Amino acid sequence: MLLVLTALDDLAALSFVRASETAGTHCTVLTTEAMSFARRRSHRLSDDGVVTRLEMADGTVVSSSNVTGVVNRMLSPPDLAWRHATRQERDYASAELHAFTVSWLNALSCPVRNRPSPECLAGPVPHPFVAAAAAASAGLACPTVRMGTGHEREPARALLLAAASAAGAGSHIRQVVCLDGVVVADDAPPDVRSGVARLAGSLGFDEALVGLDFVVAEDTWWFAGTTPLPELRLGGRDLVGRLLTLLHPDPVAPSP
Amino acid sequence: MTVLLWGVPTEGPIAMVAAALSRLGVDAVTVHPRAAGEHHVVLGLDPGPGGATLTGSIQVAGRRVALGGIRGAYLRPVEPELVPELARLPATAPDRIHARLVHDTLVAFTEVAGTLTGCRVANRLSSMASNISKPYQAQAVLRHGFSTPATLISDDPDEVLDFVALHGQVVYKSISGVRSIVTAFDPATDRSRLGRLRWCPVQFQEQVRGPDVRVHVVGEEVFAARADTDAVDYRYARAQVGQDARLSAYRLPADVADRCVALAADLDLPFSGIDLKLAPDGRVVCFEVNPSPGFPWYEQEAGLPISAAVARWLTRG
Repeated sequence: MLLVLTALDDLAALSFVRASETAGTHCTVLTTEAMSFARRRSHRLSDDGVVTRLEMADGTVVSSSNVTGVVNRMLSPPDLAWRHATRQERDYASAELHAFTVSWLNALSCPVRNRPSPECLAGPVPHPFVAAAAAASAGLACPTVRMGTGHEREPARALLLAAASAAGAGSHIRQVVCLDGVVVADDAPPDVRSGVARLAGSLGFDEALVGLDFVVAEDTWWFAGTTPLPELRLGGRDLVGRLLTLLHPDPVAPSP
Repeated sequence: MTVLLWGVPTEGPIAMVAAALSRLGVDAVTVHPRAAGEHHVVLGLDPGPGGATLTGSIQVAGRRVALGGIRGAYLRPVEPELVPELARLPATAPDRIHARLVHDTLVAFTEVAGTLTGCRVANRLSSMASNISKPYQAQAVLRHGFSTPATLISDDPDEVLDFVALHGQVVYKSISGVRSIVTAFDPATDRSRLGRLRWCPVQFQEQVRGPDVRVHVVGEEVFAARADTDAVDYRYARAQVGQDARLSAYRLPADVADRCVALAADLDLPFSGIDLKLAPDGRVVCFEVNPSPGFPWYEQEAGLPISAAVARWLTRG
């Protein structure tokens, strides 16, 4: 079973599902909404390992043994059943369901892109300043960034605005999709591609599907941040093929 | 050399580490979350040919300290929204926005400083996050050769009752980092409440007998205390059995101490509190790795020099 975990409105994830089906590989799609109303959830740990079983309202059963790979695009825990609860109860339940999901997806022995980090269900989220420092060390063009009292408040936004300021007028935003340290189907210049590969290595993206954002002006690509939710459509058939090879034991190449 | 202490200065852990730093003659600057309005901070990343350079400074009580000169940082911050004086204010209040800016900038500094300046941080908030899911953390515990209690997280009452029948005595507690009191499952009173599990799974564990051992790991140093009590949760022994647990220094077997150090390093926690149970069947069961241990009770009752070790670690760079 190739499992795709996604919010109902994640068009990039649904596009991947369509491309996968076109290539002959069936995906089992579980939305955050559906998981919020699962019929049964069971997660067992012992010295012998971890076993999980989820039963959905439509009869779909997901277990540790029947999943071959996971495309995980979950950003929020499956807590919609609690949306009308008091804030205190909702926050508690949300934290519990987040903790459950983090453990479940990290315990799977099959490939998962991405495994949740404790901070983000969708995958790795290095602090923007850590990412920027690593990008500079990797040889990518990095803007001077400031934050603090009297400056931009939010670090990711501070980095993006600094990149936009460095790039100047006429610039545009580009995202480079990177799977397991390899830049996928992109026309970025060779020095940017090699810099991205070095950055992916230093940030521990060896087993991750991420997007790296740049603000591009003329021939300079200014590093502007990372995301565990890349725009999958940018990767085209190349990305679909690589993901199916990775996540499905009997992959079928996507048709032209 | 300057060490940053980020937390409430009168709170035990911060106060004891501050005192230990003072005994070492080390300069410390304390950022009090309740005094954020008096703090000003700017953090910069300046790219250069060999990578980025960290710039900026923090101004506390009229004193300005260059961030690049801070060699160690001990973190027990309080979210601005939880500071009593700020919690009453609307989110758009300038004082609350200012406090959030101070907080977020110090998070950024403590996340990146280790790489750029060699500043020793105990602990980075991103590293503390492993404690956000106990079963996730338990997977790391297993990789380091500790035993984990048989655990069921379920929203199915029948499955829970089967688990109770199999293990006899069972406790329940939160899955997440939200603090909860470990409580024994009582079939007589709790059985009728199991229907409430339906919309949120709950964590049940076999109740492991034997003494509790809290291991504080500071870098590669280990300080262990044994807790003797009849309570299910020794931290709440007074509430559960009418008197506090008795703490005493405990000599850990060398291989267990080594595994504690390795586990803490794997979780990127230079300072941690590891909860062990010495089961009668010989298992060393690990329940949790606390990323921000409240250590004064163990230091004072069991005579463990933990704050001095933290101070040494912070200044070792």
